[in-house]
Amino acid sequence: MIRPLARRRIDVRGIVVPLVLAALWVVASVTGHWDPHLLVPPAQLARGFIATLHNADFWIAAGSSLLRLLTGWLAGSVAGVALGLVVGCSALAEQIGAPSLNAVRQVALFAWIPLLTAWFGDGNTAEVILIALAAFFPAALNTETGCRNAPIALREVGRVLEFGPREILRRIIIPAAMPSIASGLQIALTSAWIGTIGAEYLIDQGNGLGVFLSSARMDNRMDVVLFCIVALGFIGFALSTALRLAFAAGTPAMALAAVDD
Amino acid sequence: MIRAIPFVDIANPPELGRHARQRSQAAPTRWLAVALGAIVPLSVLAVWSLAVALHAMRPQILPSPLAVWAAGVDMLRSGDLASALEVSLGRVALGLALGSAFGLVAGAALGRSRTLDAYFGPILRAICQIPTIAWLPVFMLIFGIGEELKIAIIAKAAFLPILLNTFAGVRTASARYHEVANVLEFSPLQRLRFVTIPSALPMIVSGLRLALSNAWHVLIVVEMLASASGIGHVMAWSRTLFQLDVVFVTVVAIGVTGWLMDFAMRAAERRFSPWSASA
Repeated sequence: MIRPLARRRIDVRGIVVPLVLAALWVVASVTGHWDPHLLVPPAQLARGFIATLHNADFWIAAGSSLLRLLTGWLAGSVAGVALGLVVGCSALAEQIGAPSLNAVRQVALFAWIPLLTAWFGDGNTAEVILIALAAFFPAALNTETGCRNAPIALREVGRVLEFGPREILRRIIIPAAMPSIASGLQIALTSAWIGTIGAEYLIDQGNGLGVFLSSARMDNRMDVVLFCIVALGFIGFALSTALRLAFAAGTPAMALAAVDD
Repeated sequence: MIRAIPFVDIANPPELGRHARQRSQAAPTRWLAVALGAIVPLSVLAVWSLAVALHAMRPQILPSPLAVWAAGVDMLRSGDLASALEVSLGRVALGLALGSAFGLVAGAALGRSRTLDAYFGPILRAICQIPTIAWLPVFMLIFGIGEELKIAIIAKAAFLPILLNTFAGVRTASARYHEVANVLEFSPLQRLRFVTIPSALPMIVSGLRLALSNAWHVLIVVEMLASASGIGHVMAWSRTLFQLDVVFVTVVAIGVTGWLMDFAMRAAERRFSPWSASA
């Protein structure tokens, strides 16, 4: 009982390096040895952070990025889990689908942007499709692996109980694959968030944090750029923590519900 | 009740049989697999040709498969594709070398010394939370949009996977090996040569594989954004000129190059996996 508590205590040594770096930063900006555009002085950085926090454009950008992320992630995950289930449960579907899936997966995600923008225009549609694509592959791969690794003994129980294929899927394979699917959806969310920022930054149209970031760079505002990056990291971390907690609360219940009814 | 239990062949359950069959594929089965795998690409090609034949989309937006093929042959013959890939791969090699050198040293140091880990670990892990692509604007402000930018961002993309994997590989080297090294009174150099490196190598190679894949992905983005050469630039520029046949060729080239690099790294992973390294 004592050890986990002791281990959880924050190791103060971890904040030494950040403090030293911060001190160097203050000294460097006070003595003026560095280009203030690159190494923003602390006071200016603080002002920039506060100004951006009060900037309505930033919140609009963050909101539309989040909306885009959720749309793309949901679409990509639903498609990915569905395809993962089909390919993971049927040997025939695997032989038909897996080679093409693996071939398409080799293309770097953002290399799809030129084609997507040519087909769907420089706007929201192309961005959401790219985000969905970013979410699709992790969701599909993890679902497929989860289905394939559903214990043979459990499937045999299903056969002994004379379950139909649908019941085997619903009561045995999906509950067994649930942890893997859940982690696939988590990876999909992280990947979709990277896809959101990258797509907005590269396409650079409309609203979004990526666009906001890009224009801050154009204006040579390192303080705003840094604020955006911290915000990106924070949003990504918050989203994946929220999803992890949701799954931790939901997964056993879902598995039980599938077995109980 | 007994009647309700269907016959289950314990010795040869169907799933195992399926996988066993897949492993020892006879020639006809292999041809079947190729034929089945070709269904999706061929259907896509058919729909694509049909859409072109019916003028469903403007030819600037959807070039015919033959036009793409011709553009590919042309780019291969003229050497345009090879020279663009050469530039891109040169950047990957340089950035990867730089990033892995730092990653290896830092990972090994943090893995060996718990004190260093306590000081530097938390800030490095915090930096991990932010994806490489988000650092791009900062790097652009610091390095401009020249060659340094590409090398620096690739090095950054490669650094963290190598650092984390080297760290894990060094940290998990079995304590027993270190006890043997103590008994044999190894010098630090001998310990590095005979204990640390062999036991950490598989993890390091896996880290390198991840680093290479990250580096390739981020390079494409940088070249699309800020470059006058390389495969990503050719792709973005052809898109601006609405030469979508060239865009298709570059997408395939990016996919094939990524796949070849990953294939080579997977082979290296198998080569350095624990059971072969100990031999």
